[in-house]
Amino acid sequence: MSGVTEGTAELRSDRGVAELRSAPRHDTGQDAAATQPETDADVAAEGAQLAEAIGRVVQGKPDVVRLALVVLLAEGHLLIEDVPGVGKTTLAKALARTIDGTVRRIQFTPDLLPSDVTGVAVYDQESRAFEFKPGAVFANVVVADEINRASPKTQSALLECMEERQVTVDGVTYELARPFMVVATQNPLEMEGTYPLPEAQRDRFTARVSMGYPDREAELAMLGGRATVDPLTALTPVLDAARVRTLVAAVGRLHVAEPLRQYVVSLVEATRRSPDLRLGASPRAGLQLLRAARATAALAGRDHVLPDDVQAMAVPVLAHRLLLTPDAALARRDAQRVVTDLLTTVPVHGGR
Amino acid sequence: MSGQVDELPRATRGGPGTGIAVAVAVLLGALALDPVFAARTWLLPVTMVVAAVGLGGVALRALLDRLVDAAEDDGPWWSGPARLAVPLGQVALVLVVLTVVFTPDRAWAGVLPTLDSLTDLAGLLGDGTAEIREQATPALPLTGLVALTTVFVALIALAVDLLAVPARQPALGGLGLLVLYCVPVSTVTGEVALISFAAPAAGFAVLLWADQRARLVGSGRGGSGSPMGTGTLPALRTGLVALVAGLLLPAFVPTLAEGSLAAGWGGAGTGNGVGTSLDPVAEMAGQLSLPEPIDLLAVDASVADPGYLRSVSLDEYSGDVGWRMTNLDGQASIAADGPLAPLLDRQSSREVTARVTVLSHDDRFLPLFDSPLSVQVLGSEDEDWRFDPAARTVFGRDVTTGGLAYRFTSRQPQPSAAELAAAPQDPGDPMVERYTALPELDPSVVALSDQLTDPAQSPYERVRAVLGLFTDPANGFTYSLSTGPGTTGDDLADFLRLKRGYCEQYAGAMAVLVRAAGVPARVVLGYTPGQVGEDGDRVVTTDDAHAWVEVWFAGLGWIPFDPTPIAADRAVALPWAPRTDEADTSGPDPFTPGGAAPLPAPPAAELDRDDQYVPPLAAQSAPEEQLRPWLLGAAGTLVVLALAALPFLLRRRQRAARLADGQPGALWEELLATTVDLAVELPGRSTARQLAQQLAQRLATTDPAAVAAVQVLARAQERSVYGPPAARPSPDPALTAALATVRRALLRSSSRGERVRAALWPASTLATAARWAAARAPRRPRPA
Repeated sequence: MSGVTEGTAELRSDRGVAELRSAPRHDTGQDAAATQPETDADVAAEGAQLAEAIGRVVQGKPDVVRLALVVLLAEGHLLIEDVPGVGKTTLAKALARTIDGTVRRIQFTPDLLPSDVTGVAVYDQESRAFEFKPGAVFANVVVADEINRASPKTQSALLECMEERQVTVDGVTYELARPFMVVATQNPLEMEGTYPLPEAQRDRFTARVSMGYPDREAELAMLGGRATVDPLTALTPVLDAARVRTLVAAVGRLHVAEPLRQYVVSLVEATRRSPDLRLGASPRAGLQLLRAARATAALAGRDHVLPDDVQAMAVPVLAHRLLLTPDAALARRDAQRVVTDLLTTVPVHGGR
Repeated sequence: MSGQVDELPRATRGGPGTGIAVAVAVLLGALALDPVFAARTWLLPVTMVVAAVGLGGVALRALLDRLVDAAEDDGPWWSGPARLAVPLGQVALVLVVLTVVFTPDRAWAGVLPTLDSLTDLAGLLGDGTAEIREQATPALPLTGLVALTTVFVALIALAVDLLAVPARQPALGGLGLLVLYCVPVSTVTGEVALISFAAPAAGFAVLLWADQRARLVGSGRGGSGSPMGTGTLPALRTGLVALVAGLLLPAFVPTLAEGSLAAGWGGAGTGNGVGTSLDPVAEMAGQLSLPEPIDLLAVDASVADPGYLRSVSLDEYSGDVGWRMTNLDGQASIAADGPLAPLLDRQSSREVTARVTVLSHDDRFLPLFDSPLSVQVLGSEDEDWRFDPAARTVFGRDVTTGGLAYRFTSRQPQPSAAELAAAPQDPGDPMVERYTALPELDPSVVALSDQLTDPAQSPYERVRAVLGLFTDPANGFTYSLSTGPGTTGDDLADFLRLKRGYCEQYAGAMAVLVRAAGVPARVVLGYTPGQVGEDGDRVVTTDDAHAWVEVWFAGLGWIPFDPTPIAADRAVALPWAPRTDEADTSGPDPFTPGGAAPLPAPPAAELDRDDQYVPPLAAQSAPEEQLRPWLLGAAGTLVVLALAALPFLLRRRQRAARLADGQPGALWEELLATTVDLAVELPGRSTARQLAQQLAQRLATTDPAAVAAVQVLARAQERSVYGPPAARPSPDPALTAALATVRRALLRSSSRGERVRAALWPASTLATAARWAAARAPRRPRPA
């Protein structure tokens, strides 16, 4: 901890310090969500409120906002890949602020240590015992800025937390908060001195999205509004963390029919058979695709998942996990295109 | 991925446009043959085979595409070999057309070729090659020649189709048209008619248009929905160049002086034996083949029933060419003293005088009543007209009858049956030796003759027996403009077996049988006396041309017998040879009876010239004989209709079953099947929601109610497949009503043609069949 300044691991919480649960079995919020009846879990309506709130900050990007919500409800992690200045961090912050949870932002640099991310046990002179100082991941939303600038060691520390949803330091396991979502940003340009995420690591992210430039109207509106007040500060929380847990549980209860499972498996299998791909989608990809499709269906207000939901999520969920063959890359195909083509060839039960 | 790969061949296939263009082009090219033939009857079968090749190819390829598309597997393993089957299918279609047109008698149901009918066809083609050697242009469209021409054009159409569609080189198909163009260029004497190069040039322009279009579509410049106008301008330009080249080319192609078909088509022609250039028959044939009869002669006779006008007699029979004339004796002229052809003393006879004005007749031979005693030709030197006493024929030496008038006196033999019956058999008579000479006959003919006659009978009894064979209706001989297609190789035997023909076959066959019975006989060509016109003169037309038999009776001379069942108003009463079918005077001869006998040849009335090609519908004869093939044909048609109606019935049943089911899934399947039937373009792999969206877009403008209905159907389908089991929708009349609404709207938004096709030939049944087949076919292993 000694060489790291507070500036690099910045704590940003509007409601005090992040709750820290040191024991695995004490997650009352989790239990409450599990037992809570689903009657009041109107995912669509509350999702729409969230989207509206975030949309006030991230203007002209309803699709991206929606995808961020889907990932949140699917208990996944989001990778935003784009050039600087298009609002990656703004999106992450807006998402965090609207759900009234704890938010931490880690600016990844080459000298960032794994313990800065996870936390470290410090010897307390007064109590004469080691005390755990939680790292940046102990928050509901963790914004990992420019994740590809950190050393692989630090990257893997974060990615491990993402998968396990717990931190183990000195033999003690600490559960992370729920909901727990990492929003990582990555700059595809200026690759000098960076450590691009390996394929295995990218697989941990549920979805990848690129912001894209706003259209002309949105940009004009942004210039008008930003001049006076930062919309981020005007943002008030719409839901609290407990409510989000309720919604996530409701999403998990959504009906998935047998033909839909088969469709997801066919789609994932098709990526493995495609002659354009060196690496197809993993079983985890299929799992996350189904989760994302569930969240999409819930946000659309349906009690069941459709192939349309799977198709809508296929590109953001699958594309960043796939590796093109050299031939396909030479032919200037990209993973998005390959996935889109696969959607037109895999048969859909109940359609045509 | 394979979806991507599949795009490419489809865009470059050329579509139905090229196939149809090929058919049109070859047909235009075939028009070049027009000057080769004397009549256009060849055009129908040629059109039929070209249509069979062109449209058949289009249909087969479309069917194949549809099957490939419908298969679950993209580009199933059999799509490559199946493409090879298209030319085979076209050949089969051509064979069917040839069978229907030329040899339906021995075909299965008159349509499907059998071994027998194919043998007949081969025989016909053999006749055709013989006719190429024999005929000069313009050729009579005899059946064999027409069949050969049809096969020739069919082969060219096949070649052009192969070049244009699978090989995608329509312009190269011009070579086929060039071949067609070369036929008239090398066979027709003198100038080549305009149509011979204009038509192939137009055909070539069509091919070039197809070529340009295929290229533009292939390169993506025209796009798949390119307008028909694409490439028209370049095609016109090139076509114009081709036309100019076509105008110039004949100047450099050497034409053959003979003008023989054989010279052009590679046969080794020997030509006709007796002076073709003086042959009057070519003119007669040319006139006789005209649809309207032409007035030839006006005859003012001294009696009301003047009998036959004799032109020429044919005294030699050979199995190959039939009856023909040996040399004419031109020693005597009509200016000689005394009667030209006096009758023998004991003959009962009457004298007839007549004055004949030639209208359109133009022949070497002077038509006269039997038996001429004196002839005066007005406006011509008597020395120019010679008389052959043996043939009793007056013929011009280097002159013809054109524009003449002549007067003559004849003594017509009027023997009683008793006189004829009393005429003895006189083996020593030189006439017997000369006029009973026969080549070796087909055994069946000899057998027939032996069965009919008995050497113990008097000559007259024998002749009557032979005559009875033809005139007794019980024997089944019918008058027909064409004989049945022969199979034995002996035309006489074929005629006696098939019992169809006109005067030449009747006369020729009777003369042979009479000779075989040991009685001297010969065939005579001439005219029936025609009809009495307004001014009291008899008018003889081309329709009156006729052939009959003369039999020599010792002490009586040549006595005419007529075995042909001609119409009563033309028949000449011969009391010594009553017709047993005299009562039955109606029926036969619906067409130009004697004229039908386009007398191909005095001096060579060949038995095989009867088979001038007549379009199939025109050849109607005795119903009982024809009934069976017709019945078979009708049964076959019914079977074909039933088979054709099968998809319609299956689809109806399927629809009724699905509507009765009422489950959202069944209704959704029905909706999809309807879109397939109506050829509504929908993306291949789509969710119900996407399909509904597509359909809604299509129907939005025409029927907003249907848009809502299609959404209802899609939602129900989704819910039934993917919804929680508790919330699955059950059969609901509202859903069925929604389906009806959508179906109505879809039908309204389609063209009439699509609706008819959807009703009669629903594509969805085909797709179902293809899926069924694909599911059972061995699958090509996929690359892992």
